[in-house]
Amino acid sequence: MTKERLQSISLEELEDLARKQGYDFTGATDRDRAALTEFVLENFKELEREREEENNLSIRVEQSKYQVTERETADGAGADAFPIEKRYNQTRVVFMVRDPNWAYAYWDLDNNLMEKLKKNTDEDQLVLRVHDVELIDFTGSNANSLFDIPIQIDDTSWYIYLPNQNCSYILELGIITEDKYRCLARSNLIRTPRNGFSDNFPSVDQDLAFDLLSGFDTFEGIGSSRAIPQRILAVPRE
Amino acid sequence: MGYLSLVLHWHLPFVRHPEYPQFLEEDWFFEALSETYIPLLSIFERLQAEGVRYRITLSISPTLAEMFKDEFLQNRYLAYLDRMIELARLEVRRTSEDPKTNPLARMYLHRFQECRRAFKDRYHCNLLDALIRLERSDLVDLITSTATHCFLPLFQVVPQVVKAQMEVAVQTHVGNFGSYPKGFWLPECGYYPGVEEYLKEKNLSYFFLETHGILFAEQRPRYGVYAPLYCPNMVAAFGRDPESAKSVWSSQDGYPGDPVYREFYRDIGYDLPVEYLKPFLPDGNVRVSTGIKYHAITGPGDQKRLYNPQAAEKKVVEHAEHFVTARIDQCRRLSARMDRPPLIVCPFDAELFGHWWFEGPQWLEIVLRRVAAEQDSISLTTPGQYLSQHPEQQVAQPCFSSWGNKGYAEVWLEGSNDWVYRHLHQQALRMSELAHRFPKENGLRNRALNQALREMLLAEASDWAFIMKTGTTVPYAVRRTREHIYNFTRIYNSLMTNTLRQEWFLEVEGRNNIFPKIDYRSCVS
Repeated sequence: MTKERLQSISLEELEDLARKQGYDFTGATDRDRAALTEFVLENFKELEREREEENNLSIRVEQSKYQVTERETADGAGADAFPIEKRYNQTRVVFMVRDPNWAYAYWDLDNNLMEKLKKNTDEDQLVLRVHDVELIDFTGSNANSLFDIPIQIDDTSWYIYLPNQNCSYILELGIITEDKYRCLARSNLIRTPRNGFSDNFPSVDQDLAFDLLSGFDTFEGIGSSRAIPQRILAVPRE
Repeated sequence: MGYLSLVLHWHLPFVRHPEYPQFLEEDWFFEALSETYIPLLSIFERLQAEGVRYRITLSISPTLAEMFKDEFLQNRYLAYLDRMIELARLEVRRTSEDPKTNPLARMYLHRFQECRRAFKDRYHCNLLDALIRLERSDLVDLITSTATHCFLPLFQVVPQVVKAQMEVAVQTHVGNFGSYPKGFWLPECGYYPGVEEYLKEKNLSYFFLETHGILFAEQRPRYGVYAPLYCPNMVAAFGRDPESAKSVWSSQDGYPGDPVYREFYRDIGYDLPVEYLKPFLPDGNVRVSTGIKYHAITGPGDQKRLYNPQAAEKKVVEHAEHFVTARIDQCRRLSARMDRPPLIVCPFDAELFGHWWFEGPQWLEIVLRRVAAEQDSISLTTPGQYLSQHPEQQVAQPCFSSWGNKGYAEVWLEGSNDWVYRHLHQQALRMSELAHRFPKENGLRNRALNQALREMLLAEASDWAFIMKTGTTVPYAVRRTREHIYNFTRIYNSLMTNTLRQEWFLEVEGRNNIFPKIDYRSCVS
């Protein structure tokens, strides 16, 4: 994000960017523009610095491959030249594992269902139902445990914190009407990875020194990644 | 006694824009050619000519291999080199009164001229032949990676993508190199349990993992990362050694961050007046890196000393010797606890050498020479060679992992880039739908189906999600993702309704012309 780019967008878009950064400047006028641009730019720089610090060595080296200019792009034709669908008119939920604690889900509702739900939103609560299905053949009602995440009709994706590592989960997109739950779509099964060693040893005399020799003490790990993964976006995208 | 296995992964995404007279992002390829690919090949050939018996594994991504042989890009690279040579000449003139900078300007002029000579006269503009010769001489093992550098763990729900990425990769590799790849580079070392099934289907016998992919296996690895694990289906997984990795990768504690080495970020493209640089800048005003960099890393802060090549050369010898001594010492420590020779696996992005770390190729050359001379305590090997000598290894399921931040998938799945997967998964489902609906087609429709597959693969490149996350040239990455999804969808819709617009289609087919022999019938299930 550069100053030139910020100067080229509308005041509304600028306000929108500030909002995404967590600041409300609704009602800004052209007179505020310069200050607002400065403010948004400063925030982006801060965010960039933070992101930079997050990057490990492999990522930094890889990043250098794409560093040929300080400006973002020299090319005039933007992404607008390529309109793509926002939704696909189908009722479906997909679950993707991200790390030992977080998974990402995206979903879609077909147009009929969407219309119906929009009509009676007061009585219905859309939910994501997360089932722990470790070591079971899931039938829809036999999960080891489950929890619900209420969502709004306009939501399309969510990051979900999962309590157990090395564990299988299935997600359902469902609707609760007067305490009755109905499943609208069921996801694929995912399995969260480990964030540590297995207790299964190949032999009784396992030499634990290899854990250290293999550099386990320098493993960055995900211990500190409780922060919500839905970070502020660098560019308005759709 | 132990083994050292060096693995260099060569990759750039497919960037080719004949629709523009000059295109900034094509410089990724040109810079890497001048700074990394040509220098590395020259080293490998020099060592071979001198009879040094080294062994190294090179993973050449299919997109990069396709760009190597693309005549349009070859010509553009020559034009790029001509511009750089002219700029370097101007620099020699501009600095003629400055005895400190002038030798550096001359060094760059010489480098660009050498590059041009090698590219044009020695390689006849196509690096593939040189790679083939090296493999035939048995010094180099060539392996492949997914067709377009797709980060596989995020495509588990659409296994047809995983299959197509591997199928196209293997076909392209065989077509380009005339040999079958024995192993496979999982892009970003991105692994999920089960991906080995698709590797096995393609007769690919090994791959590489980040350290904890091995350490956190279902069963504790007997020898840590110092011996491979077989997955339950007997495809072998080699884990990255963290100790050696740290010394080479780290820009702070590692070799590349030494104050005498050349600084990556300071470039005359940013330092000199636009007026002077004008003829060499895109649109005459966009500041870009030129590769001409006069400063040394020096230390923190903006005050940088001038680069001193002699001091850097001395340091690079020191660092290479340190690396070899440290590996020998590491082997000794490990051997004491193992019933077989330890194996130290060092995978790197090739572009680390030369592009990021200017002196990197020299360092690598010295390391190869020294280790090749050290027959008794350590020897160079490749995973294929190691497995044939030590076929018995522990069997255990490795752990989901990557070498990205924090070790899992978060670089490629976060707020800036998560939106792509909905579309990428959808187009994979649609591609399968097309393949079932049109199992056997001829003429234009056949070409349209093949182009749909190309567009699908190009959209799946992990480079785009990576760039969205790391923040360099984001609009280009967004544009490329949308462009390929758009092209795919348009072809899909036209085929479904039998309304393909020939003029538009031919233009797209001519531009995104990667994988000319692709055949959707053998690649999509």
